[in-house]
Amino acid sequence: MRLPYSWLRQYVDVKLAPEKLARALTLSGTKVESVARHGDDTVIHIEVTTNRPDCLSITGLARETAALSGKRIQFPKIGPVASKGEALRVRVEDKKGCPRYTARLIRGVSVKPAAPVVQKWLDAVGTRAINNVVDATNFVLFETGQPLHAFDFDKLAGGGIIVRRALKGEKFLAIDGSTYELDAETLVIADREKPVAIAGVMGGKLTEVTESTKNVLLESAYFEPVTVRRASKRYKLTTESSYRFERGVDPGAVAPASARARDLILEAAGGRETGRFLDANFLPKSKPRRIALDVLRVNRRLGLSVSAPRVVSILKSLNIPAAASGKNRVVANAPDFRRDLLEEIDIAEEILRVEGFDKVTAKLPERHAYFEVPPQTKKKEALPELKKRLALMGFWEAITYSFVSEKMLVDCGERPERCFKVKNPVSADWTHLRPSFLPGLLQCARYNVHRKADRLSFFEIGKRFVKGEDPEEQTALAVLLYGPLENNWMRKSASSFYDVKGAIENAIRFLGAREFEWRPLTDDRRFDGAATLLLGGKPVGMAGSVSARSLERWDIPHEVFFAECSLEWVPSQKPITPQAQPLPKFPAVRRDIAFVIDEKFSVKTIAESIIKTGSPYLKEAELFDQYIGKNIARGKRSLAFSLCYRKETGTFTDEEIRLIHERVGQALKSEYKVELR
Amino acid sequence: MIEALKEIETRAKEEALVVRDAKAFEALKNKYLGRKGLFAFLTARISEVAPEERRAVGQEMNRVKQALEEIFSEYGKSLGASGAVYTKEIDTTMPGTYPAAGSLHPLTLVVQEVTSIFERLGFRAVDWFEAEDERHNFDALNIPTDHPARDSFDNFYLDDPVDGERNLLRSQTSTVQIRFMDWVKETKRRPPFKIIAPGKVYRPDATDATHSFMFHQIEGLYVDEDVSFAHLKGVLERFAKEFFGPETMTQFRPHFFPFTEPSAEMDVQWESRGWLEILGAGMVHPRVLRAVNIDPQRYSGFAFGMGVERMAMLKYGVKDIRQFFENDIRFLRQFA
Repeated sequence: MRLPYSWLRQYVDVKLAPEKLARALTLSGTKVESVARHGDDTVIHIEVTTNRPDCLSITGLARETAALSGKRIQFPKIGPVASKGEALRVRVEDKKGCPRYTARLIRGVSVKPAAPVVQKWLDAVGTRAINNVVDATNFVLFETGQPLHAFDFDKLAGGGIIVRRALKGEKFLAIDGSTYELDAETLVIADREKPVAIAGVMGGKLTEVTESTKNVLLESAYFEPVTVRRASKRYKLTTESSYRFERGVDPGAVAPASARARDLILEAAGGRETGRFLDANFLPKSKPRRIALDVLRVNRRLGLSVSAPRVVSILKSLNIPAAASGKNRVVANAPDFRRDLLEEIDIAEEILRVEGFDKVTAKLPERHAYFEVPPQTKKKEALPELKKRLALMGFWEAITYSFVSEKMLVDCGERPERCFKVKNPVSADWTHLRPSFLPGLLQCARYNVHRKADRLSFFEIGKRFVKGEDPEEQTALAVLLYGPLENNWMRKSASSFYDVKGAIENAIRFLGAREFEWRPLTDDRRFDGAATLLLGGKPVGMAGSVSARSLERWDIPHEVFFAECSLEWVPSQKPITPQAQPLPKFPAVRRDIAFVIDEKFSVKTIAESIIKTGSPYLKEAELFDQYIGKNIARGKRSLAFSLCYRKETGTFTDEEIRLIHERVGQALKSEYKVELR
Repeated sequence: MIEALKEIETRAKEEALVVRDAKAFEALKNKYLGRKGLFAFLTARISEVAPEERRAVGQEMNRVKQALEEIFSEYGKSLGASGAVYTKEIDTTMPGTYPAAGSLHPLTLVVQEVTSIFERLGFRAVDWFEAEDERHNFDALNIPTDHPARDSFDNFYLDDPVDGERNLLRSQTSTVQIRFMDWVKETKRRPPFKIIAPGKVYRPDATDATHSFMFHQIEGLYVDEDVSFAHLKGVLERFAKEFFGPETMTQFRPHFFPFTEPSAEMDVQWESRGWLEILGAGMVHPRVLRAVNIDPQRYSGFAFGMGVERMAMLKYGVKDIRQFFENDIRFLRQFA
């Protein structure tokens, strides 16, 4: 809303410089965005909050100005609302969309340009001057906040008005020159043949007031906000009129605004009012809204100390009738133009904003009581620390969009049917909720690879949404590796499946997981080689090498390793506190064992078998090498384990160790037909 | 015995690796292969080995001797005629090779900093759904049925409800106020509580340098007996000074939010940049308290919300909100 300073001064004799007024308005809740010169005037640009449609008018802002400056407001004198003469034919078929419709008829106008000052002010508020009749309706719109429309009466077929919903497919030629095909939910003002306006939004070209117009039908109405908003969005037409109807105009101002516009038309364009003022009013009669105020309580809630008389005087300065009733009680009467005032706290806000937020002395709360938070929150408490750990492990944190496109899903082998679809996506790129971080992180990998990145290590923690799982909204963690894990002048090492596996293991151990295992995941199209992570027997995550087919589709030249894990299993109780065990008293003896073995046996199986044979002296069998290739038959691999023997009661002799170690080798030979190396 | 032999082989290898000059090299060679060296010491003890093992030990001795000679001849060669390979001191300008740390996302840095400031003020972080229902996103927050904020133009609605009940993406983290207070009610608890809730929110805005259809907010809520607007100012001023620095000035302006009354916006004056709007706040609306069965006669509270992207843009001088979601490592690295 633009407020020309000289126009404001028509109603309130404000002496403050525009900049000072702007600051006072801002600090009392009428936020000023800028103050700018406009010709010989100053225009204050104001952002009006949705609860204060009354401030979408010069008189509304004059009320605020008067309250802040202690001046009285002078409203323009308006002639009588009622008039006598010929009956007007108006039929309101849709009382829900149009609870009040008024019309008056003025004959014999001479249409020409409006007075220069009117043109200047309209220009200052950002509306083009048209002619003295149209400009008078616009003038009143800005002055009072009530939108009006003037029709060329002689062009209304049948000489009357019907307020109805449009017929589906009905055409409407608007003042802006465009033709709109209407839908059946659109409320229109129509004559006998056609729509002549989209109610509250825009008038029609065929009935607009032009220089040849002689007789004018003047509309002032209350259109239901939702109906107007829908039409405005539907036809992408935002006008000064729709803007105000959407936010709700003052139903009590409908008739006076009409009279005011008539006065201005007669003054500017001559003619005389010949019709009987028509007022089709279906609104319930407005009741006085009395709001009682406990001044002590208000002071306590606000941290203020205002007296009851001061409260009364502030309210009166805002044109809110109020009176003290008892020492600490005030009763206010909420006026029609302030439908945002409903209960005590609303009035309290008025007191505070006029008194000034700076009157409240800031203080910190003194009470510090303990309180509980829900378990589902407690399980998330470790996540900030986990993020820090992953960063220290060398991962960059990515935050990708929670939306993905169908193409992204298909390109990485996801099934779109297990994803939630957005009903109103912003574009075809963001149609589904992500069921996994894979599409988002692959896109992020591609983005960087195309910008010459040669190694990437990302993690992301956030929500994913999977249809049919329990719960369907899940907090999860993902890691992605691309290119070498290390690449410096001393060392180069390629990244692998085992690196993302290890990263996920680090993360879940930190979160308290102890008993977990990995099983082959063979039927997942997204990966060439992958494993499922099981926790307590339940699958919670996976790690894998992104399929070559996906990489080709994403145009990523080298292998990508990806792992993802739900974090819904994280315990809300702290895991069991570790208890320190005594350290071994006697030194351990380390022996290596290397052998060639059929590749169908898993390292886990072999290690368990070794430990079993070496029992009770063998506690650990650590894999330290795997070799496949030259000199090793197809279908076989060479594995090397480092074994750590220990006795609780003393040191081993060489002979003891030799025997035990041989036994381990023999057992492997007989059980797995290994070939010791 | 065999163990000991293996051990001197391993040690010799390791120590030879770090030798820097000819003198140290000679000393080392002497230590292992000299007349009174370690190898000589062990060979002298062959008599202690049981006769049936001697053969094996002897074989191992031969192998280790050969290995040691190889080690010292190889390193001797590399030391060269001049007598030194590592004559040059460490080149301190060569890059360090310990794997570098990654980084937290700048939005996470802001979230973590803001959260920890409020934690020092007694708040606890909570986390809740991103897919929400209309009660938590609107009704209980005093946003009536026909309010424009509920339009599909301003919210993302889903084809199927998540977990069978939540059919839109939250447009504000204020939903957590209701979630938390519902939980308080259901578990028969009472105020006081002070919570801080960071998280993602979604609005179908056209994307440009300052708008994104997904962004982050941090919501705060404090309810107790006799919480006043003075506490709102006290806590938020403290926050501003902690986050932007002790010299930061604050200003509160009236504003409008459906779920608070009175409502305010807080501006900060920071590094002579003029007044910058950084958060919205207000006293919890009595209707919101009533919606979660908290008696507004007895209890009062304040709530606030801030945009994480905006804070991060101000703090780190980021010019385009889209940079946060591109995850360009050249951008992310700047926050390591």
